[in-house]
Amino acid sequence: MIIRRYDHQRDRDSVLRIFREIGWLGKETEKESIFDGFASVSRGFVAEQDGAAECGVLMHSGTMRYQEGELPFAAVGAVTTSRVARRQGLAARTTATALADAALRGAPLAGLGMFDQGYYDQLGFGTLAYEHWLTFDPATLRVPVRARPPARIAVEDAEAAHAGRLARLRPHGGLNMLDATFTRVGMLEADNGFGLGYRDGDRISHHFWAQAKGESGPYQVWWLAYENTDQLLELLALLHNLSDQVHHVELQEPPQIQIQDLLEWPFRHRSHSRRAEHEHRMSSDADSQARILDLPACIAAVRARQELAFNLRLDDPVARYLPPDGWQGVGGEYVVRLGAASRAERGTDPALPVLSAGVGAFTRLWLGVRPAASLAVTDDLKGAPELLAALDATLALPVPHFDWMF
Amino acid sequence: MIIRRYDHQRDRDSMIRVYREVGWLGKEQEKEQPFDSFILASRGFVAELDGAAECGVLMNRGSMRYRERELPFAAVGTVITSRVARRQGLAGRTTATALADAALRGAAVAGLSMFDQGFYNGLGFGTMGYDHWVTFDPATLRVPLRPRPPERITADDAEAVHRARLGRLRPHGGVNLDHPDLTGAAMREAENGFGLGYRSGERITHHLWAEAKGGSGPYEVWWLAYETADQMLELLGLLHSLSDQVLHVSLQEPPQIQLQDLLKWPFRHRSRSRRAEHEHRMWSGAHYQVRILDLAACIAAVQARSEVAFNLELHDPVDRFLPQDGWRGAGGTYRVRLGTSSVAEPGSDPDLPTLRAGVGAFSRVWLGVRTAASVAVTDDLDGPAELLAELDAALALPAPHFNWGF
Repeated sequence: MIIRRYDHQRDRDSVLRIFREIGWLGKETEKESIFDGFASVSRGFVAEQDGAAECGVLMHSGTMRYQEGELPFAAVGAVTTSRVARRQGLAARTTATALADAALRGAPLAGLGMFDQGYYDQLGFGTLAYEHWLTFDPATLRVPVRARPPARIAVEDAEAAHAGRLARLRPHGGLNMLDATFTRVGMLEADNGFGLGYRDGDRISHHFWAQAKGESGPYQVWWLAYENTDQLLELLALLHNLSDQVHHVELQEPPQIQIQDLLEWPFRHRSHSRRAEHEHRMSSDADSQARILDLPACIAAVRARQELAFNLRLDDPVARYLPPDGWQGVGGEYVVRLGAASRAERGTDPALPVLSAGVGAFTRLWLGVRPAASLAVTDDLKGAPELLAALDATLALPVPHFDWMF
Repeated sequence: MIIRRYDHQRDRDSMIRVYREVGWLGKEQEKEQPFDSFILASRGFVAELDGAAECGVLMNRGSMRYRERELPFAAVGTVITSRVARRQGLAGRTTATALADAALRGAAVAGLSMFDQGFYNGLGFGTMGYDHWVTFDPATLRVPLRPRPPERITADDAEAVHRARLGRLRPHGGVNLDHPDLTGAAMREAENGFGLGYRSGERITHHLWAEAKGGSGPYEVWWLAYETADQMLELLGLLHSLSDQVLHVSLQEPPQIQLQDLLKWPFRHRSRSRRAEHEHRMWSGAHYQVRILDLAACIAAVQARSEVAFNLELHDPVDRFLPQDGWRGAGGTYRVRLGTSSVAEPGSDPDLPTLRAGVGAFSRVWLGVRTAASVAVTDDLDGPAELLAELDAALALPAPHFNWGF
């Protein structure tokens, strides 16, 4: 099996063929520019079969907010395998190679959007928390502000919109993808996409980007970007203003906001529309994953509420997809000390309690997805109950949300 | 308007009529027995119209876990108004009277399940966090243990079942209702209800109570009660063991557990069953509400992670439903100091920052439903940003769940 860097000139047609085979791209050639844009800001890897790229992995550089700090982040943006190359281990090995590359280039953390739960666990990923998606009639939004007339935001504004996204209010776990091309490609990808927002001189202070389907909707909001919560309310009021014509809006709940608070009679509307084409509903699932690539860097980001030290026995399954020379994941034994300044060092201290974990489960704990006591029930994490309780008291993190689709 | 205590001999028939009018009770005589059990286990209030009880409120006494402490809890178990008595303010006034009675009898906090969002805000209630309901094929449950053969649990075991529920693992926010007949009434209320579980001598250690619809389901789990996480896994293993016959199970996610972790291919199954009669899905909603009745008692339960002091200007709308004499709600101005021990006293301190809040919004912050910074966006709470941040750092509570249907 040959795994190598993606070469746009050599591999473009093969990877486009894969994208079409798996249904990510239609027959229209104009949509190819989206792929080209996406590929141009990615660091790609392909696996060859009979001389052609039949599996591709595209990685993107970004950053993630961890508490008040910022960590480099490697986004696994696309893992695709053609119809002729399934079940041969190409995707896992190519993704592992891409992760090793990201780790060696300084990313302490990686994440992805999963097609289903399970596959990426074998590469050391752990599942993030639930996201909540709402479908509702925008007439039922009760927002205590009046929206000013907005400005149209178009693909031509991609750079300013991207700057607006980068500067948005971004709580714990929030991602930024660094290159403006991501925003431009995201805007182009929407069928009948449009944006509305507000400018402050040349700057876009807050805006949303949405996809309009049909006359009465649903309008699917792809992202909201705002610097403060007053701006968030103004954007929601803007959605409300569209309600004379639009009957359905789909929206991912903004981090840390309980949108149900702002809906009038949510249960009545859900009851009226049960099993309708555009059912008013709130559904939830966890469809993103994350994993630590550099444990000392991730632990160093922790500002803990109290001091706690323990031995960490970390298992990292990614090693079995990698050649024996080079990066082998983060498995091993560490002494971890959490506090106002935190650190992890290779080794053990016999005086300290032991936490044993898969890297995916430990990543979830470190990020605050679930408490240690909960992960010990449903994931690969074990330790004395006193240690688990102490970990939960020490970390007590808010629930993380990527808040950036990729 | 006459509001008075419920008198079973005098009011039973009127209340049964109201129950039938609102659709909570069918025509069958045998269904009156759970009603009698329920009502006799409750402290009831009625509002009269033309000499008959046309509105009823039933209260149930219990306790709520607040971190490691217990607080006296009043559950508003039923609020019903007949067809001839709507929109006359009976429900608001009768519920307020019942809340005043509960407060005077020592309840520190009250809760209810709302028919929709909005009505009970007028009585000072604030919405709890989202609960998650999962519908899935039990064959897809991946539980890392084999359950032992269970025992049947029936309504005849109601007292032992009730004790098991009271003794269950109950994280922050978990409610217990005291009266054993409430469990018996609920067991009898289930159409084709059944229980499975395990005993240790006379004691039921862990069990589930469910309603079976049809041969292949759905089986709707009404509650799970377990003392340890291993017991919870055994109960889930038990559900899995039913999967040769049962194709659909509906279950409210246990507190602090990310149930998706234990499902195989959740997205594949959701995609395949979209809009089917028994769609595999996870949906979410905040159906419960909570309010502080006794601010001093509730604040005294707080063991904060850091110290913060502030003036609290608390608005309580319940007073407009109550007579001038007697309990008038929790509104007023308080000096609140949070720390390892916490206190709220009437008065204000000009050197302290001020938080202004409705009692419902403040109840949500106190209980950890959402952060103060978040509640300030969507609810009736306002204060300097620094104070909100300090409050969030001091409280940092896990998400509360009542985990008891009422």
